[in-house]
Amino acid sequence: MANTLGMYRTVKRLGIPDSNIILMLADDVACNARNHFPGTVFANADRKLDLYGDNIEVDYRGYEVTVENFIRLLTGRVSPTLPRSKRLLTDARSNVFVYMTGHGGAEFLKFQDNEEISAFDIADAFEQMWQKRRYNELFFMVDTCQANTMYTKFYSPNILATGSSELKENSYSHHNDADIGVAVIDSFTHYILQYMEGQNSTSKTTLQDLFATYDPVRIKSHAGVRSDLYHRPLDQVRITDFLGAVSKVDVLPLDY
Amino acid sequence: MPKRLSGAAYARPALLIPALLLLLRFSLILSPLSPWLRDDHQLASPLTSFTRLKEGIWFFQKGIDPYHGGVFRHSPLTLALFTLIPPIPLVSALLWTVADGIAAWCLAEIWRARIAPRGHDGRGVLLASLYLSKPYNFLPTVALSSSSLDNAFLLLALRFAALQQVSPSLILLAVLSFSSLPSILLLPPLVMILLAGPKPTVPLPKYSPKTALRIVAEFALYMVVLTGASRFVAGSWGWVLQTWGATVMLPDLTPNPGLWWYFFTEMFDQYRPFFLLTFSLHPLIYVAPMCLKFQHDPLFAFFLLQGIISTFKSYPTLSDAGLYISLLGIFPEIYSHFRHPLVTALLHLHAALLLPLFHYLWLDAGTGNANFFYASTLVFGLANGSTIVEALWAGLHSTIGEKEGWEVVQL
Amino acid sequence: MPPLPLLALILTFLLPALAEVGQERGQRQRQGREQRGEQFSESLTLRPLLDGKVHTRFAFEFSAGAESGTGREGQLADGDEDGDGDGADAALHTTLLPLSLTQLLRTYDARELHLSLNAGKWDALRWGNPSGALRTGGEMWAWFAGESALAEQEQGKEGERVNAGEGEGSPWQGLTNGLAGLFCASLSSQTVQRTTEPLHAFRPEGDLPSHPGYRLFHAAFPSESVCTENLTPFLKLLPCKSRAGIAQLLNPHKVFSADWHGVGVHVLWKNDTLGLGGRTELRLEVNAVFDPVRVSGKRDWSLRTLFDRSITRSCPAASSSLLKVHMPTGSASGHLLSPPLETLLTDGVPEVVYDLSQVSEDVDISMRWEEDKFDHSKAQFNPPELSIRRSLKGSSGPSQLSVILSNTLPIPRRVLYVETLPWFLSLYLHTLHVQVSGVSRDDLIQSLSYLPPVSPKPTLLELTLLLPPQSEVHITMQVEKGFIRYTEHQPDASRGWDLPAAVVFPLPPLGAKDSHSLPDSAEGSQQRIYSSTLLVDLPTPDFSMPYNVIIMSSTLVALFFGHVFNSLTRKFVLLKVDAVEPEKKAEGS
Repeated sequence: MANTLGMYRTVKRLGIPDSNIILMLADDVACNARNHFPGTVFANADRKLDLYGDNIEVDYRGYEVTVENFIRLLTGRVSPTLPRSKRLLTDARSNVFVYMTGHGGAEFLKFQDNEEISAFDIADAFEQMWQKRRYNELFFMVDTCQANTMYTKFYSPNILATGSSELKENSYSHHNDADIGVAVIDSFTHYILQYMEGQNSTSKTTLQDLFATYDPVRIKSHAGVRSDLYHRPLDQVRITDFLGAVSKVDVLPLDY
Repeated sequence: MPKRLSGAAYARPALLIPALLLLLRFSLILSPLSPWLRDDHQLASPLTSFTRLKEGIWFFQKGIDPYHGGVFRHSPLTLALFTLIPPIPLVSALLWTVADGIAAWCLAEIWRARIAPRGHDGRGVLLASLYLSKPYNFLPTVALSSSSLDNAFLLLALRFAALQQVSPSLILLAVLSFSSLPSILLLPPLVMILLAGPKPTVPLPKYSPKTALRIVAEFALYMVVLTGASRFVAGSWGWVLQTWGATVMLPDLTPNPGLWWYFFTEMFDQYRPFFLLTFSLHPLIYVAPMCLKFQHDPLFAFFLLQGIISTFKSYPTLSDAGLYISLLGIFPEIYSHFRHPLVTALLHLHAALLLPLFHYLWLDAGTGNANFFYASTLVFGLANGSTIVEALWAGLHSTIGEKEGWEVVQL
Repeated sequence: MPPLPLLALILTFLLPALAEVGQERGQRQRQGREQRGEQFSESLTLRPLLDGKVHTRFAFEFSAGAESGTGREGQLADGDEDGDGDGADAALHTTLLPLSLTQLLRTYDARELHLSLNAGKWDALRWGNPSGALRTGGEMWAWFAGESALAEQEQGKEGERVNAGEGEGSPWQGLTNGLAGLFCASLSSQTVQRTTEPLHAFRPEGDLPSHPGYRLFHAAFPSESVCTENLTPFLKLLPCKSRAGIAQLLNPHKVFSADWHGVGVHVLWKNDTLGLGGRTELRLEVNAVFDPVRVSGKRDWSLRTLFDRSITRSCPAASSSLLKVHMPTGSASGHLLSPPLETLLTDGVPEVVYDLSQVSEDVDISMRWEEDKFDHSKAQFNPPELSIRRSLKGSSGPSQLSVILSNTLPIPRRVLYVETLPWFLSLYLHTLHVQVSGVSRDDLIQSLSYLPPVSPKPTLLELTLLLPPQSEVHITMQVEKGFIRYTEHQPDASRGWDLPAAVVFPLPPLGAKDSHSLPDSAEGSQQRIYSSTLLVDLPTPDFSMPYNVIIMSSTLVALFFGHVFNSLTRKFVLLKVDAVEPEKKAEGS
């Protein structure tokens, strides 16, 4: 949970509004009766930053987080009565950032204890998105065991992918909180978020800089990057192209 | 020198045994044992459970369509019967005991029809007693499962057919097929028995197609009339989907000793219609070959088909297995030709012990899971299947007979 | 260009004028709102309970009249008045009523809506009944206009309830989806399995316009949780959001750690008594029961200790902003409310009302009790007039649903008991028994309405009972737990299924005049008493086994078929054993 919420907070901080974020949380952690700190989710044992906060909009929660709903969301084949907040309203000029985390394995990710989504399913969904012109560029980040296998099946252009561990490798959590009783964040996401703490909406740091911070010893697994489908060189792509919403302002002459 | 008593004289004091068993049944149904067993999954299926019967009658008497929900799946004819006879304990005990008594008597009658005019009548009483004492038939009766009534109808139909009385046997089979749709597959062997008699005949009997067609037409007429009567009783056509439809579509996945329920619990939704079709049509493929192969002994074909239906029914209970094991008693000539009778008998014993044990472990104690009970139904299915295969093989062998110095070989 | 001093002079005269214009504009706006009949008022009621807890209730009430474009005859906006077939052409001119909600209701032609999401445990025996609020889980019910609901209907068989109203394209599904999106709740994932159409229960609290054909849909979601993501859009519907007024106190960290908490949305239409259209009323509520004793051991509370916030600004959009404190009566030790104010008697309840429409500094109301520690044993509780306890008993075989309704008043009471159970639980109505103190009293059942479950729709049982004075009526019936398919189980199948609460509606006694309702229906009754939700454990198949089961069962069938085929089709021949003359004789084919 804290993984996703950490990315959510980062992305919001860098300027993307709730209307442009689809947050899917399969578990009710913050307000669960067993949570020692109601209404809060921490990513760090020092409990300084509450990721849940006062202002959060979860679009899919509980039993709604299913493979079917996820693929329908991506491809846009939804029921006509589905509300706008649950739709992916992107077009051919949108940069889409997809972050997935959970239990996974070789070419699959587990949803809800009884379902799996496979790398092929995601690859096909992305291809449908490409054909329906639902993205300009897509950045896919995944933090599970054997995560890098999840992006090996993509075949659509303009997709950049990164994962937390190689085939046959586990991804590890970072540290536990003794009062909450579980691990609060996973290693890969923790270091990404730590790096992102130093960024703000005017940062010009590139994805190359982000990927250069991957240290297999620190992360305890070999994080990988797939950029063969991506047409721009990584040292020219700003992080805020995907994770931030920076509007460009054009100053026009007075008599226009 | 003491005179040798005739078989009939043997029978008279021996009649006490079936009478005692019937009395035992009657008293046990009225005891607290019956409510405890009433909803047991092995003894009563959703099509035969007494609790559901009472629920349906309650709705019917209040003027609500009992077939609206999924609780009541008995035929409208049963509903009509129980509006005449109230389902109070005393009356139901009497009805079930009488049904079992009739079934046992019919079994003896069928035996007598088969061996007539030669003697050795005492075996008839033996068969009746065995039928009444077998737990596979005893317990479902105590549980007031309407499968006991179905057995009675079937044996009565067979008895009339053995005595070559066309109309009664056809009417009874028609009524039976309203409670148990697969029993309609028993029509071809029944027709053959009506035409050829209950005894094995050599040379092959001549089956006149015209008579056969006439019999089938008569059966169809009875079915139409009874369907109309059911429609009249139920007030609408909803009962078709709830009774006959349930046999084919399997809407209720309550566990039973059969093979369907877990298969379709674990089935993916996309393949469900295909497998439902396959499972429903499966017993159909045995009808023609059995009847053709046993033209000389249609009663044997009937017995084998009844076994197949019991094993591969959608909602079986233990009384179905009990019925055809009892019918096995009518054919003592095949016993010497069994290939592995011990294995089959032990399989039955295993299944009989495992089924209640694993049912308890799964649903009552919570320490087992559904796979345990499923495995025991597989053993039960294997036991039933192997009994049929054994009987089939033995039946074929006994027909060929033996000859000194010659060996029977299969090509 | 005028000289500078002249400019300054003009400005000194202009500036106040501008300010006045601005003020006038604001006043005109307010007047305009009032002219259009829009009003927003907020209130917070604090009720100290007998066991030391504090029940807080935030109510944000909007009302908009016909002049504001909310139209006539129950519509939230003008419909197609000029009849040119282009639907709702008039825009909704409201400034206070949240457009996202009203537009949703307008699209699906819902006249009345009630949605509540609650969590925690409400102790009815000690705290009384929270006037209509559900105890646990989510609940939603709405009355839809006849034409649109009827237009979706297919031709139903006689005697069968038409179920097209709950189908995919129906207004109910659309409304559920829309509200699920608006309030970030997962209401739409199990709609069909949770929706019923009660006949007698859940009568409209407002007025429904005169033309007939209104349909009620009710759904209960017992496993729905409520959290910050539900409060966030809720607060965004308020005119002052959470920046001013009483809503400043809504701190999700505190509200969701309360013993019982919930949010509710209620939209009604009230007819104008003069017959000139009517008013739309929207009420947004947040309820929470805090436990100061848990924190400090004493019953003292203040807004700061309860909410960790205080009210710093008043909301200018609110026509009235009140904070009411119910003064506890009949308790052993004394208490002191600060800042002190005189106690008024409202509806028999002594309360202190603070007016928060002009807030200049931090407002913090607090109550202190003159005791060192709260002594639970000294608290005396009055049992409520009507209460319900429900349980599901039995482990194997059929289970028994056992409901105890207790009536503590010395007069007999008629109640409507409504039970909805998911489709896999079959009720055996012939086992329905009513007992009072061990004596069978089946005559207490005055009417029974039952809709059997047809997968996947739930079952609906509506019983009207007469409860004898000062008695406990014990209703029992047999319930069979069904076996459902592998694909129909929830993802966390071993946890079990939550059963929605049973609802009890107190009814007016027979013979009371009720012009447009069935004698058994709970017309105009706002009082609803909910039982607790239950958890039923269904026997699960082994979820890892589908392929294995298919393979093993098919193997058995194939084995059997193979043997039978073998026996039936291969020819039996007699073979002479001695080697001299093998004579083949085919016999018995």
